[in-house]
Amino acid sequence: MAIIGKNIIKEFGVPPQRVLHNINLHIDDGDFVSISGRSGSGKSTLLYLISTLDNPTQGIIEIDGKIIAQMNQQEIHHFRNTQVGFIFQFHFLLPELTSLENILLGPRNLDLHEEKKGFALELLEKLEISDQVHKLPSQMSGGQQQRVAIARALIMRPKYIFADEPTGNLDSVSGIRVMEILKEINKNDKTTIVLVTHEPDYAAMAKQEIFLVDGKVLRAES
Amino acid sequence: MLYLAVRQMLSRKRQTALIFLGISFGTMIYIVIAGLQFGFRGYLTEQLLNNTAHVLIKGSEQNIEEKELRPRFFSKNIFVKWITPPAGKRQEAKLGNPQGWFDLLQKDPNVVAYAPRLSINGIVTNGRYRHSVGITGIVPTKQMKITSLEDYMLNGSLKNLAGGGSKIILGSGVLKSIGAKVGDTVKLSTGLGEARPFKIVGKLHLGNEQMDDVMALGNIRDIQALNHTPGRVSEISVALIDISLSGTLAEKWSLYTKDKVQGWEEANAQFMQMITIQDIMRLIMTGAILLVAGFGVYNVLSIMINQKKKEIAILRSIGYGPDKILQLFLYQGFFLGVGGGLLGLFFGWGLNMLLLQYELSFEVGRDNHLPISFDISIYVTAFVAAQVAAGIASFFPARAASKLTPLEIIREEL
Repeated sequence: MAIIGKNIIKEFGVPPQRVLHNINLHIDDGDFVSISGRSGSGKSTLLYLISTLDNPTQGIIEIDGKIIAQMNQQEIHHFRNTQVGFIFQFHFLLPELTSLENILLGPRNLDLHEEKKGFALELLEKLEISDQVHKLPSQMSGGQQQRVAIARALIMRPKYIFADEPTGNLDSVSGIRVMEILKEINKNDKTTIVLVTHEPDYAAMAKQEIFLVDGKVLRAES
Repeated sequence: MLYLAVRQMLSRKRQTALIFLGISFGTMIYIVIAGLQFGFRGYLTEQLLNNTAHVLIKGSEQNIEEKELRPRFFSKNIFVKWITPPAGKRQEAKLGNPQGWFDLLQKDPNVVAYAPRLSINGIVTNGRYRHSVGITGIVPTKQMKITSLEDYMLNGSLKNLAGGGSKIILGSGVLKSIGAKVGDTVKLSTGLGEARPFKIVGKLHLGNEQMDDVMALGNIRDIQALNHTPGRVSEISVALIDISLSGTLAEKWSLYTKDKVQGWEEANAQFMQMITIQDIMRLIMTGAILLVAGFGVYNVLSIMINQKKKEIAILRSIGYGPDKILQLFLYQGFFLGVGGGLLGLFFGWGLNMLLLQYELSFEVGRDNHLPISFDISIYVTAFVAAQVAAGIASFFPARAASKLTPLEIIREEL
């Protein structure tokens, strides 16, 4: 099973402006793929398309053999809830909830929060922020907040992690640590990771690199 | 979503408290105003019903008219211009066939009770002091069934008039005016024949100066004798099971007779108009208050949703559907409505209790306190209205929030 994109075209606006041109991609299970390119190259747009957050104007995207465009809203919500973990440039933590409560948001939607509590504490330990369990986002540093966001993305043991510039708001030390964590997750849990970054060094840490220029794949390296 | 809704509300204590206060203030104001309006209405209705009953059957007054006399004095061909046109009452109003009415009323299933009365004008004399009064002859046991006059007796009871024997109950103003007290004997006259002695057996105080200054109640047989009109009944007061039928029944009964049959609403048309105006005013005011409270909820939730877009985005991206987002904000509107409504009920009740303690410089009914209604329907209406306002006000921002897609929010943030 894998993520397969065939002739993906994405246009925005009126008159339509093409942002992605006939993109084809194949991401195997357990892969670690980076999508890089300059600002405006379409890398985030591509990530949103393959992560079910958006639909292509043309082309087909398949995840685990299912065409996203043919999935109904319930299926998409369930898929996001159980199979996908998102990490964004902004941590998007709920400010009124503690680290632990933020991590358990996904399981809470399925009434699994009690069951997943132990695993959440385990993740906090693994991400070296076990001392932040009961702290609110406002009481933590940017790096710690992003680690909580990573824990939130991992709590359902998702098959896929989609990370959009997860280091964009972090200092270099925190950024490197986040990248190391993602690599560990990919290596140990066999979680498929698709990472969008404009940092060549981080992109190079992936097993497969897709480099976009003006919405076209300039090169894809493994 | 309940958990998240509560956490979000608790994290915005100030905003939450402000909306709470807004809704509770609106609810409280409604309760106080409706309590006062209904209290006054109850007081006025009781006062009116003590005098007019649900349906009043009374003899129609017959006046002498020009057209009746003209043919008796002049032939058809003569043009007549009266210098002093014939006028005046033919006789005092009386019912044509009181017994017929008694039989009808006894059989009618809508009638709870009825009481015949004879109303005349007279003069009460105590030594040197004289005072004009409106004398009402009643059948005490029957009168007690259709009015609450007994509750307004300061001394004695309406029952003291039972059996006749020239006894009278006078209004507090009358007693004061002639310097008499219960137990004294006064003289009553109607202008016909000699004045007769009556023993004062009770003091009535309605708290309505106009009434207390003229009221005199006696046994109907004594008053008929005083007026030299044995068996005469000037009116019958009727109490119905359902007061709202008064108009319909009055209309139906008036078909049988020349007597005047008036429903309570017709007899008190002005009062009913006043009540209608009061109702309209209360509705407008309630609408305005709830609009303000609702707008408060709408505003705060809209601002909050704008501030919470990022959180909505993450919730949507981890699988929370639009229905869950709708729930999240509807719960908050619901809590604000229920909390603010309950608080408003308590404040409204408390303020009404405080107002009840306030002593007026004049009497209203039995005492000198504001007549305030604590009817449960006022509280239910206030609470339901607060829920409706909060519900509608929270629905629109909640629906707007549920329509947000994670992507459009994320793009906004970038």
